[in-house]
Amino acid sequence: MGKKKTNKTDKNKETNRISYAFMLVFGIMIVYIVVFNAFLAKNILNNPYNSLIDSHVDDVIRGDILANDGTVLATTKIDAAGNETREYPLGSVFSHVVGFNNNGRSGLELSQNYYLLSKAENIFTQINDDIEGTKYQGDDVYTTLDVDLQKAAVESLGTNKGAVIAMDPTTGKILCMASYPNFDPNSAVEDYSTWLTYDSEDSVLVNRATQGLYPPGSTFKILTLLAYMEQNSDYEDFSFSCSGGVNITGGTRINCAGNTAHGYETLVTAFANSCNSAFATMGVSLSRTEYVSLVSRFLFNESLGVDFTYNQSSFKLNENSSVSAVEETAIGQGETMISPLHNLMIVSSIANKGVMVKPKLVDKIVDSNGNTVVPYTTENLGTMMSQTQVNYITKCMEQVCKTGTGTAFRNYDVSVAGKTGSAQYGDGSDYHSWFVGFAPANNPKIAICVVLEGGYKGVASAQYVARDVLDEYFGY
Amino acid sequence: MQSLLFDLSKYVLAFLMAFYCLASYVGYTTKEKKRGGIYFWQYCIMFLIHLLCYWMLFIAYDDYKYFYLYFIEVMYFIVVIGVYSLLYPKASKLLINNMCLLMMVGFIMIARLDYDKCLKQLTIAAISTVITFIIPALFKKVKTFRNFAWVYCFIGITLLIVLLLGNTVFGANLTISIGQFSIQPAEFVKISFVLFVASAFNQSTEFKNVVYVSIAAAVHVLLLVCATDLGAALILFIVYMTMLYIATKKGGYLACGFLSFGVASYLAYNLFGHVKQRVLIWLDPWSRIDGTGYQITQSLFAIGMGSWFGYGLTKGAPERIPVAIKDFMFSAISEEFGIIFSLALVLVCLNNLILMMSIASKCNTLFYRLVAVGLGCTYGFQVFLTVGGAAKLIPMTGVTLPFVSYGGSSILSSLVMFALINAMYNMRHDERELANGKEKNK
Repeated sequence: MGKKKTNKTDKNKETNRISYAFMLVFGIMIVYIVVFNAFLAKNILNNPYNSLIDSHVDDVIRGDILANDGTVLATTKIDAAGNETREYPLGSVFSHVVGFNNNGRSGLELSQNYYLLSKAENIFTQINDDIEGTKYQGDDVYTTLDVDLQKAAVESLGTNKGAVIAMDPTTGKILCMASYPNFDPNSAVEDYSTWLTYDSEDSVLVNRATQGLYPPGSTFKILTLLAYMEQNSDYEDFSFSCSGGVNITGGTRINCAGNTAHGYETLVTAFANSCNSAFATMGVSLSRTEYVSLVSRFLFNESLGVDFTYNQSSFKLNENSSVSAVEETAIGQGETMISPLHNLMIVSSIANKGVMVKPKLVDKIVDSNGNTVVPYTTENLGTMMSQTQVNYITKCMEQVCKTGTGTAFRNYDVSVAGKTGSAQYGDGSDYHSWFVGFAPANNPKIAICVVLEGGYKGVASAQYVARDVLDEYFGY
Repeated sequence: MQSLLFDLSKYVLAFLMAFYCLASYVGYTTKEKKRGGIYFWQYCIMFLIHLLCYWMLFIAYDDYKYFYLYFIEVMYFIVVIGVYSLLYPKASKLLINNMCLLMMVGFIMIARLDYDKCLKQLTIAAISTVITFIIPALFKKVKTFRNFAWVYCFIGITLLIVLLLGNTVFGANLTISIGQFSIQPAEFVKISFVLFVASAFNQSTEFKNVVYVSIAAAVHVLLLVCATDLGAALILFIVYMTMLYIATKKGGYLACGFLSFGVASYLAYNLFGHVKQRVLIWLDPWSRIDGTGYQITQSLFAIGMGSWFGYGLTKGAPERIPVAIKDFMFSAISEEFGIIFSLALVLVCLNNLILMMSIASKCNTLFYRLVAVGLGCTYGFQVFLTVGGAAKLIPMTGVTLPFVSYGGSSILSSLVMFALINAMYNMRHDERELANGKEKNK
């Protein structure tokens, strides 16, 4: 009898172990699902693919979208009969960035759709609303956008195709984001079909600030400069004699803008003059592997990780590229394509002591009870360069505005660090005009990027648009 | 008033389900003779859940067909519970109640997603139940089931080869079509495999025999991996390891098994594109959200959006999740019933596993014990794979939630498994008498 008993406990021991193992595994799974729901889910639910949120439309009054000073950019009006209409008090000023909510969605109306249709997270309030049958009030989205700066950008851009985007380089808060051609979101119902008829070059629906891809032109010399500095510790001793163009063995002839002979140049003056001959020569001298890896570090061919619609930049240089491809790429021509948003991120990383931060449009989400559901956090995307490199590049960029191609900023009241660019496109007869920069140079508060598509009129170049925006920012 | 009741019923349902779950665990810890009250509460709660949900479906869709379906289902459940207590009074009522509850939730969700499929599922379940009524009696009468180890092995491998050929030649997706019916052989291989391993180890657990059986088991798993049924492959592996452990009581085998599992996983990841793809989707579904990552991200949205109490039956949109009715039943239920309800459901599944292990520990014959352990692990691990997969705790493996998900093969094989377990319950008293008799003879 005694023996049998031990047998029995033995059997129990093993089957119990299996039960315990399953209890453990199920326990982990259940805890995971609870944790997921309580903490992790809110980070994933605000996604345009989360179509389930649209089922809230009948129960929720869509929240407002507001500027950084509380100005209403989008709101829902309810008439006496209970019909809801979405209104955009500032019309086309914030067209792309705020977007529309009729005939599909775009801009913040799309990217923040989840919050705009979310209800305050209090189970008792919810039961109470269920009982009373009232509609929930959706959360409000406070953006980082500045109304005055946005108006200045839109005004300065006028009727030229292009984009203006500016942000606080230390926090990543986007201050303005304008794109032309634009539209009035109030007329999304009537005009949507017309907007779709434009071809890709004229399309009013494309937000050129984030979705437009352009050759970077001379603004890319910032990265070529950085690559040269990384690979040559004696970079300060660099000198070059420019005769208005250069022939490099195995490559094609590279000319400086207007075939201007810049004469004797240091690295600083070559950058300030935006000397193609010098930079093509530097580019060819670089280790390609390291050049490519540096450019990749700056998120070319990669996700920028931002929470709104954008297009990915592309950089095609590799080990086997021809010498002429390297020459072209080093001066920002060739096959490289970049969005104004990305160019802004690069220049902002210089302004922010080498650290790239994630640009954001949403300052905070506030629910109907006035509680902040999602506060603002600055997200670092990585350290891109050392402080020494930052100081040197800033010096070069200041020189651009003092003596170089940045003529708009001669004797400007605030020291501006910038880089101009004119990017050839198509058959090469026309130019996109670029400007990237930040100010004040020694203590940057704002970083800006402007692109004007070829054929612009009424403004000398992109840097003048940037100056209008900086005028507004610094109160001139 | 009606709409208010409708809106509030989701809270009532979550409460009822949690209460049922509690009852099932209290029932397990209560002595069998004192369980009468527990059974009563379980019957009340499950029929109440069933009634409430069909009332909601009826209100939401305003169609009398749900009304009729409700009555057929109620009759079906009364017959299942009634026949088991008449024919097999020793069978585990807790297990049968849990099974009925799971089927009820399954029918409700299937009816909500696709009325015709629910009718089909109910028909298959009814026919299968009638067939499985004889299993406990058969198992008790015929003692030679334990002598056909290599026959089960042959059947299993043949089914899998047919499946594999079907896949590669006809491009069928883990199914074999015979006329109007399409069968998923893997569902039945799970059972034949358990019977094979149980009878083989019942004969001998000598090292040589263990090696032979391990090779045969590895062939099963490999065929399933080739047929892209990773879920079934994983289940068979885990089941084999636990059965080996129970039969030999040697932890060393377990260590060897999991070591070889590591090596095999590494090889499979690099050799089979579909294995790698599943893992990559699991690691980062967000960058593939408009393609291969769509399903799992929609599943996560369903769980997250449903939150604690869900949208309320018919108020969500679970039909947008691809194959919600089969592999993503857990997400669909979470979306409309909420996480409290769906996790209580998962705990009921765990309760089933515990009941199965408990009967295994009471079996004196190694064969029966192994069958109980094997089937229990098959069941428990399958629940883990489908729920864990839907919640992205582990990669998706494409297995169903037994009794809840839609699928004829799935419901039939699940019913057979539970009937086999009930066969153990049915026999344990006889076994005890037999053992006592032997003792006396000595």
